[in-house]
Amino acid sequence: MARSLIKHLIEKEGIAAILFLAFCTALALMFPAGVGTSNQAPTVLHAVAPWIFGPFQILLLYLPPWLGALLLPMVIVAGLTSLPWLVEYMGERWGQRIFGFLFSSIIFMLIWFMGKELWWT
Amino acid sequence: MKDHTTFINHIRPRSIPSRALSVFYTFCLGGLSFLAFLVLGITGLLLMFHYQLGESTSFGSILTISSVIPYGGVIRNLHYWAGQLMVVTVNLHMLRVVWTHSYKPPKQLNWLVGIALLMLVLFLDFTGYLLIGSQESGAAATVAVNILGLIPGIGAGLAQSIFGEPSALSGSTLVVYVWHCVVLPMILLLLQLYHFWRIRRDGGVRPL
Ligand code: HEM
Repeated sequence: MARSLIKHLIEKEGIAAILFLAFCTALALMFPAGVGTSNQAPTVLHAVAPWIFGPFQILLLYLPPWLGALLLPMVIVAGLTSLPWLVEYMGERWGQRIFGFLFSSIIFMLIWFMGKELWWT
Repeated sequence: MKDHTTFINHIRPRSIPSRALSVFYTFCLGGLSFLAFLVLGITGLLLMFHYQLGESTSFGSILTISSVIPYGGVIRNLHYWAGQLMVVTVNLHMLRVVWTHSYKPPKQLNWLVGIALLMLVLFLDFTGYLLIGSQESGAAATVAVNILGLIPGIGAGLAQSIFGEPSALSGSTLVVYVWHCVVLPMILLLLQLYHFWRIRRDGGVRPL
């Protein structure tokens, strides 16, 4: 019975899984995970957050901790979480705009962090 | 359609909407996130054989794993990269859900579950970073403890129950270890299973 080779979802997801594993293995073989600085001989550190927490570090750098590290992150997460209800009460356009604004500000801070800490210093 | 009434039918349904077969609808991002989770579980378990928790031992054992234990380096790198990629795939998956408006009723509960999953993944990433036991991890733990300490009343207690008492030179404490290796992965696994079950309950992955 003729049927196209990659017809079923399972097959497609399977191929995606193999590609993902291959990619992950390639990264693991090519780029060792960092270990940081030993704590046996303490030095004065310029501590940089892992990239995932870059937006946090940017907020902390320029704002007082109660605002940058507590209030704003809570507001941002609450905003992202409430997307379905924003859309319900404010309409699709505004709901998605607010989500887009919050998410892109995270990405913006991430790029800011990377530029500041990783690429230019 | 009584497809989802029994467990067997749930995991092996007789029919699913043809639209759900399109890779370009989901880009497999949810499935890949789960795959990354499985890779992390397996490699994490292997790392536990040789990781030695302790303010003065964690860092050294990471070095030993990376360069002395056979295949230790590649296992640790796999754990690291799968963790980084999981953060990426989960975020892209969330964007896909927004793009296809899949957060709308009846799927809003699963959206909430998703946000919880995202937070757990980020927290797992952070606790993993602390377990390296480097000076950087000590600095990170100290910042986190100070931030939580800002919460009036419960802050200090909260910080201690999440991070223990990390020193400025190493973030690896027993409390962090238990969160990272046992509690968070368990909660993440259970929530993911619930997430998958809800997808079917909410009518499956297809345009609303
Ligand atoms: C550990 C992280 C996660 C895993 C393993 C996961 C897994 C999955 C899988 C396998 C699907 C089926 C469709 C697909 O592959 O895209 C799905 C659908 C869904 N996910 Fe996730 N997910 C995770 C995080 C999230 C996040 C962060 C959100 C949103 C905030 C979310 C919201 C949803 C929603 C609403 C659906 C239904 C989509 C539809 O019906 O089109 N999930 N998830």
